[in-house]
Amino acid sequence: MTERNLYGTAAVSALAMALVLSAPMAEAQERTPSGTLTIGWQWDPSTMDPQMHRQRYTQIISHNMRDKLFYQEPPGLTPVPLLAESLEQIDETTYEARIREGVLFHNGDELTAEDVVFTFQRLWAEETNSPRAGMGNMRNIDSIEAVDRYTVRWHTAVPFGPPASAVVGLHLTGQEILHKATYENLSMEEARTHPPMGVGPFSFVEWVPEQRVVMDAFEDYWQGSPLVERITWRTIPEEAIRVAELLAGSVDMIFPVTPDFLGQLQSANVKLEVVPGTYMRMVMMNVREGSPFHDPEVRRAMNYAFDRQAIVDFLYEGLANVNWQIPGSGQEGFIEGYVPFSYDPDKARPILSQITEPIEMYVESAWELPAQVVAEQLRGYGMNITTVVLDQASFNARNEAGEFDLLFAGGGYGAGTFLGAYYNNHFDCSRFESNRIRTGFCDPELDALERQAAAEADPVLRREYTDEIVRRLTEVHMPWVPMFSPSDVWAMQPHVEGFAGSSAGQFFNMHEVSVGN
Amino acid sequence: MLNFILHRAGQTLIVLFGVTLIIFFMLRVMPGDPVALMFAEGDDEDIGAARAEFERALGLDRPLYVQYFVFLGDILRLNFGNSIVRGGEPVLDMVARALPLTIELSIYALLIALVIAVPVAILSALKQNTVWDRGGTAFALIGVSLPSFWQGIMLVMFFAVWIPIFPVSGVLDTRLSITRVTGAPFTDAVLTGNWEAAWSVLRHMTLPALTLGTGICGQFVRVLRSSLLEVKHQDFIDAFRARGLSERAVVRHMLHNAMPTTAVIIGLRIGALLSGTIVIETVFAYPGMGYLLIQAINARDFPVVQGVVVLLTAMVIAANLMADIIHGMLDPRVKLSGGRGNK
Repeated sequence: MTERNLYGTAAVSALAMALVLSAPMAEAQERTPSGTLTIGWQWDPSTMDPQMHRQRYTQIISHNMRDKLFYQEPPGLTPVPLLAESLEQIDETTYEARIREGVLFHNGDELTAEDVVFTFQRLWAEETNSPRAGMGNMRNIDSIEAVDRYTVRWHTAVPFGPPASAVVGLHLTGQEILHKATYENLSMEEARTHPPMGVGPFSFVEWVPEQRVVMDAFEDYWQGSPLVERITWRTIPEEAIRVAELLAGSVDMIFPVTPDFLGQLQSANVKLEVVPGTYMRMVMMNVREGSPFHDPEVRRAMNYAFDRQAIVDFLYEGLANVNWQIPGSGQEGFIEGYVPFSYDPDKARPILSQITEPIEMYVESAWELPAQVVAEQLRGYGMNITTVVLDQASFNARNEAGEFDLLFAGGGYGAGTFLGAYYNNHFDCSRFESNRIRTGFCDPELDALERQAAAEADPVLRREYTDEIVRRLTEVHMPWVPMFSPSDVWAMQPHVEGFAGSSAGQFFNMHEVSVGN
Repeated sequence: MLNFILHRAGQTLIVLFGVTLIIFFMLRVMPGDPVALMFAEGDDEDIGAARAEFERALGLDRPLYVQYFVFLGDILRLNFGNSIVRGGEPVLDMVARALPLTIELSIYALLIALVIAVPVAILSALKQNTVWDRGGTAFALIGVSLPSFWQGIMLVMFFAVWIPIFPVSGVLDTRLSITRVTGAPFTDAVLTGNWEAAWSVLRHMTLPALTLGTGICGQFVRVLRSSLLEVKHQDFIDAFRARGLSERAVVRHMLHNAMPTTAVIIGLRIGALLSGTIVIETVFAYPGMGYLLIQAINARDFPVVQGVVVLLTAMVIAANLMADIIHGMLDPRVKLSGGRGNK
């Protein structure tokens, strides 16, 4: 064994141990659920089949009824074992997870490795045609098998790295575990509306599409019975109406809350839960020839041009984080204390004032206000900027086609990762093959470094490589001007206790929430 | 009459064919598609390949004309396809869920509009050029001009938050449930004798119906007032008065003669009523056809948009046809016949 392999094996063992140690304790407590919690939120789940969607909100409903092997613990979004007790790397391409014993489905059956194997096999089956089948690095998984009643083994086609990164590649934080005996006999059409059967804290009561989902406390939940007897999730798309429902007392909690209503809510008898968001806003610049932003010096000037703090203070009432680097706070690759630029109009003006041609900056309607402020700040340097508001689909199409000079865009990093999917989606040259041009930025050298970092087992070296990528992207290539990440805000009645917001899971600890009604 | 209906049915088929053609290709010309939106972000290592695979499985990689003929063939078999965004839910199921809600809301809004419009129009016409008339005209103008989104939110703030008479939004109190018979919640509650639920549905529908109703009643007031004024100066009205008929009976005769035009306008306003639901249903979280359509357009859910638009078009055409038939029945001077130039 070489020194490097020895080091890698030691690191793997340490990580596996760390994962075991950080597993939540399953102390079944004697708790009697009481009261009803009504949540008014923007969405309606699109299906009750957790493998047939790609929406965060549908997953939130699902994972309150079905637990996953791992979950992302706030605030750092670190993958932490949930149904799994541990994840170990047996060799370069084999991983083994031990699942908890004594975990019960809502019908009283015990969770076994067969359920886990079935869940992933159904997900990858061609006839399922699941839009989630390729998440993480699952396209490179060869097979999955049950070693014994509580042990599951994955065989991968390529090395997925140490357990801490393999968790992401195997997508163990993203797949809710199905009850094999229920789902193996259901057609896809039946599974779409079939009452979910899982090992989550709540059991299904009813789904009235576009109106509500109702779930009851599952008293035999392996982490102890939920405190609230029933949760009703009401679909209320308009924020003004959600706020009115909360003020009228007909719902206990609302989400999401935007800065437009913060003042009104703060003056009412309402509690706010605020957590740092994982959706960064940035100004994307077209770096291709012909665009005024092809010149790196112009992009550098753009990074000095904006008073981000003013936007955060005045538009977001301080409920957002200013960003100065490509990864957001809490995301892998984020370098603590790294602030390569500052708000410096004197550095920005001499260069930006030379750009006098008319430039359109595209933005989605939901983000028009901050985009208007950004455009106004650029006009202050003499630039001729017009803001063009598009609906989400048109905006995405323009982003993918790279048909813009400036784009007031956003990037979500709820998974917490930077290497792999996030990097590939925004920066890797391979995205051109599927016509996702975006800023037009491409650097094969940086891509090679990213692959090296992703495959690196040594956490110190991995961090070193990642830092290098982040610094080069932020300071040398500068395809983006990182702007700010708005916080996620929940508003609730004073009698709602124990809720902890999470920008990744959003409603991850509902079994700890109680109500006084 | 039969000729007329057959003639209009033929025209309807041509219009529907045109609508399928326009809606299908317009959706494809618009930037963005459902799969691109679904796969815009995600933690897939190779999101481009994942997306391409999903598109292939749905047949979205086939030439457009092939996709169009598949769509047309499906429609002829009354198969409107499955939603791409909602996990493959059949479009007809979605429409069957949404349509009864919109019909009930529209009828309620129409009733509110008529209850307000008829007395205001009569008062305006009988007291022409007085303060009553000017007040009625101003009322009609305000009704037409107010943005329904703003009006809806104001009604909510007044009558659901500050003076909590009505619920803010939704269809039914979450404590209650209704056994499905027709899919229309109020009708089903009444049919099953579930009076608590019926009352709850009615209360939930009131604010959206009021918003929708006041939006259209302005036009009813103007049309009915004009018709009444026209009738008011006819000789037969003077004759009625000369024969000593009470003013109440005279007004009844005036209304009878003014109704045909108003009936046609009501029929023609069905389209406006349905388009009004797009905003109102979204504001009040009332999941009818308008709500369904706007959600589907935003998500570029092609099969749902296509299905809903084709069905809504058919409904508007049917409503206009009904209005013509009722007009013919109310006004014997109108002859309904099919064919070229013999109307």
